[in-house]
Amino acid sequence: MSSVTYEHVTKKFGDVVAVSDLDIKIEDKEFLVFVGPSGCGKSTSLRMLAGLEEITEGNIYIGDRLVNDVPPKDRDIAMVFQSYALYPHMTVYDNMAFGLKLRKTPKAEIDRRVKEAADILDIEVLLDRKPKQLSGGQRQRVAVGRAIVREPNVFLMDEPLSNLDAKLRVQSRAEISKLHHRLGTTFIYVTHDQVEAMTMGTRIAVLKDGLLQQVDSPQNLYDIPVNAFVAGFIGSPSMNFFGATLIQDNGKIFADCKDFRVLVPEDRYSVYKSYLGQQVTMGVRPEHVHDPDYSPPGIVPALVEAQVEVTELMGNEVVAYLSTPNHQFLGRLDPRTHAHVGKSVTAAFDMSRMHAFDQDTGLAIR
Amino acid sequence: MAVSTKSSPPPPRRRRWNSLQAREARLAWALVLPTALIVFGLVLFPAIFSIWISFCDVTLKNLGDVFHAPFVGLKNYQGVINDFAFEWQGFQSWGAAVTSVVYSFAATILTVALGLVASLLLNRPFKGRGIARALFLFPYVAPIVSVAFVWRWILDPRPSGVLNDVLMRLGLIDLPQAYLATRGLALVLVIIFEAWRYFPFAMLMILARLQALDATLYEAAEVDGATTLQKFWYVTLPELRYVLGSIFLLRLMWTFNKFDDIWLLTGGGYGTNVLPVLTYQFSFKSFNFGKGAANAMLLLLILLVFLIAYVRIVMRDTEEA
Repeated sequence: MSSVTYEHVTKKFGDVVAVSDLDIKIEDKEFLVFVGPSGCGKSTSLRMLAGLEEITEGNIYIGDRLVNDVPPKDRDIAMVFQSYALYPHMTVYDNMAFGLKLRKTPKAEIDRRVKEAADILDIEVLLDRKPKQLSGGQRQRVAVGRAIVREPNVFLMDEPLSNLDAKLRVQSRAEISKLHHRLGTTFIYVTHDQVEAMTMGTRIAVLKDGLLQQVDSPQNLYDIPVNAFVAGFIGSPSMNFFGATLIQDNGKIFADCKDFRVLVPEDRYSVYKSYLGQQVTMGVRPEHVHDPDYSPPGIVPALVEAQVEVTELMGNEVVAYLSTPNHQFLGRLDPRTHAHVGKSVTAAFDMSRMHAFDQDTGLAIR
Repeated sequence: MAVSTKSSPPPPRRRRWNSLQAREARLAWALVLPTALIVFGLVLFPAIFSIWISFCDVTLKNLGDVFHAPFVGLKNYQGVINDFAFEWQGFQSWGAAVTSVVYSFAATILTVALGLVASLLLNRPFKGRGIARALFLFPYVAPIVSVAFVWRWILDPRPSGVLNDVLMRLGLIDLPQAYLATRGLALVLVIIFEAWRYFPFAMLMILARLQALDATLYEAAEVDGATTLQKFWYVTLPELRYVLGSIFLLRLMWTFNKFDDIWLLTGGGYGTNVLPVLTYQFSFKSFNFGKGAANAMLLLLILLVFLIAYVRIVMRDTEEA
């Protein structure tokens, strides 16, 4: 069990900067998720930790040990690959035992660990099969099993669920979380799927273009995103953004979005004061757009007239695509809503959950 | 209505000669016919005819009336098997049968091994890889006559032979050596020549498989703690098993039937007389065509034994995987 420290780590491929000045400390037993769109440097960050990519600048520590020049096998890590990378000619048992065999672990010990891992993952009956004879979900378990038997200090997982179908992915998500609790080891997990990140991570590191945007708990990322990118990336459907001017009228502050004007809650006045008269980006999550007839208690509503473009009935809610002359946004409305395609509807923004971002820097105003 | 249907005769089944189906069929025959004629005339007929000849007494004297050649049963086969050039005479004179087997297996194994090494070298990207690949292909694409004569020139027994000249200048030998006319060494040299000439074929096939290998397998092995040698042994080699097996079989068959390479280098002398060369000698040196055909049939039989063994052993594994 170990902590992991990235100390101003940079990775360049020729002139392309894949990861820029990554500085992050991952605590022992933590489940850290690197998340971001493709090409953001999340996989590269993980591969540098695994020792599969060289570090251009900076240092990586596992525990107190500087591992920059330590080969992968001596880093005491185990990795699960996106393609699983199971050895095709070996049985499941041999796949799992391979790393231990190379380390000259006694046969009885190998057998004990493989059986134990197979028991945890419920794959005992598959031990004699070859990878070709397994389904995608089974292969994924074997890949995880191969990592478990090594009893590493750090688990690395590179999009291990992205080759599974949706239902299996949800199931495997919970299983990996359970595994983390059970093993009590540091997990570092890479995904492009923010739902996976939110549901599994104790902390999430959001990356974009090789730059670390924010590292925080899932709830904090959702509630207090540091910038518009994180705000838009975390949450599904993603946050609605409106170009707005902050104006003062009768001692109250409004966000003027041209088509409509919404009242800013009083507790934000002190922060937003310096932006008065300026263009900002206002953000409201779809789940904070309600049908006023069915809005939950305790919200600070601001009513907006909008046209209904499309509705998607989900059963527990209706995702409505709404538009005003200058804006388009989504609302997750109560299924009893009167919103129907082609009609206009009044939407209630919960202004207590509004966000505002500087239009130049994208940073949250707070 | 039911009654009328019952009494009416069944619809004519006869296919009209200009129906679409019939015309398609005629076109198909027309397109296949030239090839079929060529295959029959140049492959099937000679093959079957030589089986026939192997049971007949065909020599120069009755070549004009070969279809009425006297049937002699297994006499030709007996003649071949008892021929000193075919039969094992001891370690000093192996006979063509044993020489053929040794030559084919040794050359094939060496070809595959060389091809494997070359493909591993050329698999990883480096500067000038394209040129290196082209150079490595050279022995395979160059005309056999020219490369054989280059080798003969290198191994020439006169002091002017390249190898003799070099070795004498270096002081390693005092007198020029006749490499291709030394029993034992000559066979080793033709084996090396064969491997040198055909390793690019093995290299190409192996390279194609190597390029298709999943690179993450190597990364997984690296994380698992495998050294370069272990990665080759546990990841690369098992993945190459079937392509190596196929190349081995193909090369073995082709080498077993190989005539021109040995003919051009040694003419079949000095312990390099293999079955195809012997066939030629029976047929066109002593003009005993019956014996030549019988020898060719024996060659085919030995090859069939290898083939069946291969299918039994290697192909069975393929289906398991």
